Amino acid sequence: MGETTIPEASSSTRKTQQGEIIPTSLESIEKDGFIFPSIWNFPPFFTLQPNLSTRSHQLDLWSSLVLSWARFRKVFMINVEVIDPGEVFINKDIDRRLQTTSLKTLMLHMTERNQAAPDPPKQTSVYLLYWRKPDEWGGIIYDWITENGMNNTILTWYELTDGDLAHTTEFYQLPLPMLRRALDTLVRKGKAQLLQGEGETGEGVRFL
Amino acid sequence: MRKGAGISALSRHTTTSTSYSNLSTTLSTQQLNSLQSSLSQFRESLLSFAQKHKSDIRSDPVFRYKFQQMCSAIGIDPLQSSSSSSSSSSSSMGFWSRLGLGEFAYELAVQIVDVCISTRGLNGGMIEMNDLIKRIEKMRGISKNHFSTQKHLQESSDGIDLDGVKFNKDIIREKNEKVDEGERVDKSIKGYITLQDIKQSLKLLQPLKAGYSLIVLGEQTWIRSIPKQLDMDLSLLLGIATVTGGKLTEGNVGSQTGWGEIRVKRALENCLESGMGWLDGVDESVWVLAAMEGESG
Repeated sequence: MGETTIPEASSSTRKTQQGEIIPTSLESIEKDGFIFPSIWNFPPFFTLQPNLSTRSHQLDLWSSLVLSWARFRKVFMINVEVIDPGEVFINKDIDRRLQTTSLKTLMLHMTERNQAAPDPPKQTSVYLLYWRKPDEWGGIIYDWITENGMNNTILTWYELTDGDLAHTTEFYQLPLPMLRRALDTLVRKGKAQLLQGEGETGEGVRFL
Repeated sequence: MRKGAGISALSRHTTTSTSYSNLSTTLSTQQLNSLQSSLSQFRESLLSFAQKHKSDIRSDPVFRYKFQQMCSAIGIDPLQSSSSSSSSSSSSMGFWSRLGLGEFAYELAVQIVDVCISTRGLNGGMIEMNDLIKRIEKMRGISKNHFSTQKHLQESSDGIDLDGVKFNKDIIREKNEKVDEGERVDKSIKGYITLQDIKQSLKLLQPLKAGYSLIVLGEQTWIRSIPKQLDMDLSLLLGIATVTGGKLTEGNVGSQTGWGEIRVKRALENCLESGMGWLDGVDESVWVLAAMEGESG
């Protein structure tokens, strides 16, 4: 990719004679409001470590970075197979990226810790990122319904996440797979009932 | 009749020498007593001085350092029980703890352990002193604003009155400079900790036999929190890494050490195995995170 884009050396990096850019010191940097931690400028951070205890530490650091980045940018899903799975996985300043196989390992690590989930299940490309877990989303939706006295009202899923009323809520434009998981947790608690609709977007829900 | 030639003179001589030796014993006992009493008196006044300035000792690192120096000058380790000779009721307690300062040292020791263990996955149990101090200060919620600190210093401590003896601020600062060197000079402000404090607290960790030893490499001091000994080749690599900004390649290690290819490879592998090194798969270089400037992690 992009062999023409030569990254500029920033204040915390320096260029060697070979044109290679290496960091001279580690500093956290801000990009469009999100602050990347200093370890993100550490080149080996993008290589899965052979030492297992270092690796598990590294994966923990990656997990928390991915979650805080996703929370900040409101990223709900990623596809690990695509060229650009997300800005957090590519650091142009030091010319490093997390390769697909490493990214898959990271997603497995996060799935084991209930920080992510493959969706649909049983594949290893597309993952939901659980910076909020389904039951937390369920709680937020249910609280909002109760506050607005909409218990027992029947709503379509579309109305719930994209309707006029939903504009100011945190779950505005919550993707369907996440919404389904969130509502499932409410159904299990006996707080919601799912209703079969007629069209594709016709699925509805009634909160109890 | 001449005296002194008979048997009686002999016995008189014995008597004299006995009384001389008695006198000398008495004198030296007296001297010892008075020395002991003045020493214990000194200890008492040191203690009362310390009690009086307890809060300063706790909060002001420069003052604390001066105090530690005073103690070590007269052979008192403030962390150890200092009253082995005196028989006061609190003799079992250390000097420091009698002041409530044991708490300070223990608290710091806990924080040292905390930082060392929590960063072990990043640095394999080797942490540079300044990095350690920075992290502990962060834990203690000390702001990094050097300018405001400096201003505060100018306003607050023109001199410290040590019971009549005025310590000029400049003298103290000069002393402090010798200990800390460079950037850590002006931090004579609440809560900051010094190299000396860390050293004191490390003593408390010794009985744990869990490592926590100081290693001096060139100009830097490192704390190793793993009991396993740091082997020579690894410490050499660490030394090189501090110069190269963290990066180790077969090339730069080979040229710096003059080792053969196999030894270089083994040393680099060793570095990865120890947890100190991180592999960069792009060019197969090994990076020592702990040797990099800035906030690692």
